[in-house]
Amino acid sequence: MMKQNFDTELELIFREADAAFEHDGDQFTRTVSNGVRRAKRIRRLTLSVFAMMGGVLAVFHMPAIVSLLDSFLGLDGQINSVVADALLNPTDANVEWLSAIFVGVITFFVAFAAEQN
Amino acid sequence: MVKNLIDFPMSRSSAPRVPDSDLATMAASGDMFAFEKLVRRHQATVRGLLVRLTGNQADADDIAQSSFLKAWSKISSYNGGQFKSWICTLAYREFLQENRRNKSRRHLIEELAETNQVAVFPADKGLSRDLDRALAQLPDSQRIAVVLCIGVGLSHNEVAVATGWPLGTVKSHVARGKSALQTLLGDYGVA
Repeated sequence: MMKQNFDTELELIFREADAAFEHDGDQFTRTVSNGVRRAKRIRRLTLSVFAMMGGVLAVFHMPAIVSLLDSFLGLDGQINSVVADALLNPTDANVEWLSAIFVGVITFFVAFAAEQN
Repeated sequence: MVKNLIDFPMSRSSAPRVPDSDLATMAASGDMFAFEKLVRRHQATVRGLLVRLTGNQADADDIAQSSFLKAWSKISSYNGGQFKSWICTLAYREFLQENRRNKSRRHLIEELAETNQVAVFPADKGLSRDLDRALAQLPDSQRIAVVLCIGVGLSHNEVAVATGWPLGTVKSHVARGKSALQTLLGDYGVA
């Protein structure tokens, strides 16, 4: 048999063998799609948990963050003293804007997680 | 617009075939439907490749599924070449990883396959079974080279990239593998 003929015949046998996988191709595709959806759900859940943890940690480390912000903006501790005043004098107005910061920080991390998905 | 075309049930026969690269771009932006289309289009080639590498359909399907899952997570790294080549290279690497992970288990399977070779590749199931039996008798390197080059249709260069072997080695494995297959298939009365 000529070499070229054998190559062609070999390719045909491979194609014929591969065609046998077409009969359950839809089922295989569905299995893969379900796997992808499951992987996406797990990734989203993991990111959300990490985002919430990041948000809570950020709130608990608010003094350090405030100091950093102060030095970054060159405000010489002004934000720090405002926050400290608000914490020491928990009037309704102070509690309100501290809560707003808390919610803002958590929202930022959740939005970040959502964006990653 | 493209999505609407491939959404339409008659698209399989009447609508123009959407190129793989477009589907991959859509999949990279999170379009699951486009990715499903790619899986449907290439699953037979990938599963065929893996069956010939593993010699076992269940293992091949497991590796094929994990290869497509990996493809989904890495789809943004696809650079627009031949998608079949990209996914088959990924599947081949997944096969190597799985092989390393289950080396001892696989060794046992190979021993079983050797002792029950007639049962694993029965002779009375047509040309594809004859091919499987013939491939099983080739050395690993020749089988891999022949399956990737002729079975999947990759160029010698693409096989060299996928396997990490030098181009000359790939060419020599393909040539020797084909020659051995010709003899073996001739023995079965195929070639």
